[in-house]
Amino acid sequence: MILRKQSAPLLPWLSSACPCNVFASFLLVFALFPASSLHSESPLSEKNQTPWRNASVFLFNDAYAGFVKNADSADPMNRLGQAATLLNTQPRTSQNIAAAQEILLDLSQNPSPHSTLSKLSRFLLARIEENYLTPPQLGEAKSRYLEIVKDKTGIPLLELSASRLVALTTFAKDKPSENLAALAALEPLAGFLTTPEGTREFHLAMGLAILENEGDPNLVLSHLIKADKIGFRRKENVIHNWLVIARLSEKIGNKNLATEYYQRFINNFPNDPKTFGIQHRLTNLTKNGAN
Amino acid sequence: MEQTNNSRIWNLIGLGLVIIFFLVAAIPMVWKSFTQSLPTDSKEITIRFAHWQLEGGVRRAFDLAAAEYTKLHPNIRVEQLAIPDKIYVNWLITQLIGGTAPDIVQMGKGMSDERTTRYFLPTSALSTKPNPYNKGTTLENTPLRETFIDDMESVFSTTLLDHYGVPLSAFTLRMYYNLDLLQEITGSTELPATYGQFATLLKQTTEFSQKTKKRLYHIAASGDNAPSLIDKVFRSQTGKLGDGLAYDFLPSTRPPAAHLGMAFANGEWDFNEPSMRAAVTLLRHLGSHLQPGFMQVSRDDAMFNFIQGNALMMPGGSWDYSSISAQADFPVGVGMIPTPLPDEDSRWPFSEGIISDESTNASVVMAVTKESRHSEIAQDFLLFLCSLATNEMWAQESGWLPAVRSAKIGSESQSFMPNLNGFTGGFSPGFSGADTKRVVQTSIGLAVNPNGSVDKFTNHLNSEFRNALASDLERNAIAAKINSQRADTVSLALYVLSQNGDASAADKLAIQLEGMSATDRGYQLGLQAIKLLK
Repeated sequence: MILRKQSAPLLPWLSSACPCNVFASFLLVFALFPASSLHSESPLSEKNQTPWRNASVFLFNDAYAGFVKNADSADPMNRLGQAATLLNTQPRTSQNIAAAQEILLDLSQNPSPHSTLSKLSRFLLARIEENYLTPPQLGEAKSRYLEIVKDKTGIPLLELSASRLVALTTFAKDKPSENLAALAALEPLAGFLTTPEGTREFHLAMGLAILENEGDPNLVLSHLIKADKIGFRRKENVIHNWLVIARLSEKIGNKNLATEYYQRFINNFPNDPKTFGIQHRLTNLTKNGAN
Repeated sequence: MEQTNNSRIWNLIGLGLVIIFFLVAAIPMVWKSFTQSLPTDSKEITIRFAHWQLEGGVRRAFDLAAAEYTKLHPNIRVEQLAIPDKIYVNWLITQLIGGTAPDIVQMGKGMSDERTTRYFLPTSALSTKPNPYNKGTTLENTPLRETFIDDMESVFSTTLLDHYGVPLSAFTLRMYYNLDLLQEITGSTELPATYGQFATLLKQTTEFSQKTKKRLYHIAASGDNAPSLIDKVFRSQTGKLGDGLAYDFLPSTRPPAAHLGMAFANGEWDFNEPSMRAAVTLLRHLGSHLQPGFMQVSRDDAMFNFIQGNALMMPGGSWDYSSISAQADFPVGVGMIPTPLPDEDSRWPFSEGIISDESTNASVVMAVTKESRHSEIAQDFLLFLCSLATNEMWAQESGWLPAVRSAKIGSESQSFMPNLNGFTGGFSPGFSGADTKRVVQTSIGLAVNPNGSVDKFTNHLNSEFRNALASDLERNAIAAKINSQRADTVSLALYVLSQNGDASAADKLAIQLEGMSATDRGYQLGLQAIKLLK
């Protein structure tokens, strides 16, 4: 397990405004280094660092060329890099996607289907099935996502599989009632999630999916508040979640909760262009009661 | 024999000349080489920066800032390259690809994620430390990011997860007016504060024009500034509309395009909606007082009409002020663009109140290129430019707003200060992208021409809007899908690097994961909206 000194928070107002989020931020960073470290399983060679760095800053063609130059069939990290960058190398072709799939299918079984490398490969395979193939193979993608969630990977990136399942279910059927039933069947997935990020994204996705299908507002609030307690790094996400909680509480007549979240927004973002309107809304809420 | 001697003398003279010329050429080079090996402090270094802000005052402000910097660092000279905006993109791309770009360039035009990451240095590392040039000021201990009015959000790339560059200014939209003319027409030097009074002013202007037989436009407008005016008109009337929609999840925030699209597809709103009709009624009134054929008029032509005294008013950005005031031979007034207030009269029941300058982000973003041979000095110059004292001086000299918090502004710029004491307003019909904007802009004549009407415009939009909306949402969905695909590779790379002990990658990954979910959600919403619209 690798520990590191926590760097300066990207959004300092968040930690200064909400002490609870300091702990949350720590957890988020800490959770990026799960017990089964990729580094210990498949160390990253010096020569492959530059291509991975290029891939991390959107220079996909350069990254792919770097991986090919250093190609070594015995180096799984190089092969994973080739597959990952083939997905976005320009021009994006079906041959590239097929080649990436082939590499990932092999990596998902070798050296071991339980390795972190295998899990990452399976996640990318699910992403290909969902988002790259024409037509998409949503059934296969869902099975892989479900399998990864049940693996309890402890890796935030892979735990996004749970929120992907929610997204694929949100509008899957024509009738909102059917979507709500399918979403309810996903509730137990929360029990498989062990990282704050995976858990937060799952609750956020569930809350919004139920809301889009006009489901139980209290269930929506419960999910969104769970996500809020873990905390967000991006200001726009903090604001979005707080205002949805406040607005929904206002709509169902939960004046206290609406007031709490409107007030929280005003206190933390006094210079935001929305603050004037929110203050006006809060004043009316206090004066007239919830509508 | 004598001929041989002469030839030898000429050869010697020739050789001598060659040696002399060689020495003349070589000595300065040897001297230059010698001086370049001296410590950095005594080297003369030139930093070049490029921008497209040719407006009056801005270049002078940059020159002054450069001169101040040279006073502090006598061995560093700073040169600006002012490139006309029409050729800026082509010029910049050529320079970047050719490896000949200046040390600093203005960002914004012709940028893509790939160009940004390939050619520019991020400023995230600088953003967390105080600006050394703020020493001795109220911002001395403030991290650079928090010294800007928007906390550097305008320079944060949500896809690249880094800050690129620093902003220098901020812009707002205002109504310029010919102060002499206004006084002649109304006896007042101030634009009216309410829309009712503004309507009276328009009427008085018509009467003045008829009486004096002077051909006078009420408002000089162009295809450049009219869309912002139209947008504000709609926003002033549709603020309450969101509250009634099933997808009203966000108070005081414009609903996402996909939600508005879903609501439109479900028949929750269209252009017969009373608040939409109110907006079109307002548009018809205001639009019929704009320069005829305004959508085809260029910005320069509209400005020419105003500067020539042929128009009483002209909407424009704060960036135009220095040019207008320098060229007009009459005093130029600056006022807010009036929109109806709720208690003004019973004609505008959908107005919430004053519409704020909600989208005032810092702009004029300057960034250091990776090719810069003196990138550290270039970054230092940027820090100098965006320090409290320099940004204040730059803003006062250019007549533009500063981007740095608590920077004092000149009395002339007070009218441009962003007004946040107002509502953000609702949405305008061009909310989803190019196709809905096209439908509105190409049919605007149906609303504002003498033979047009509210009914003609709304009926036209009701028949044309659905396809345009679906087309925009399809384009948005494709963009969201591509972003989502790119995020797959980036997030995996960040994860691999973080596992290799890269703390910065771990930080970025934490943020990237939030972004991935949001992008995917946007994509799903877009698909659902398209499904409902078709």
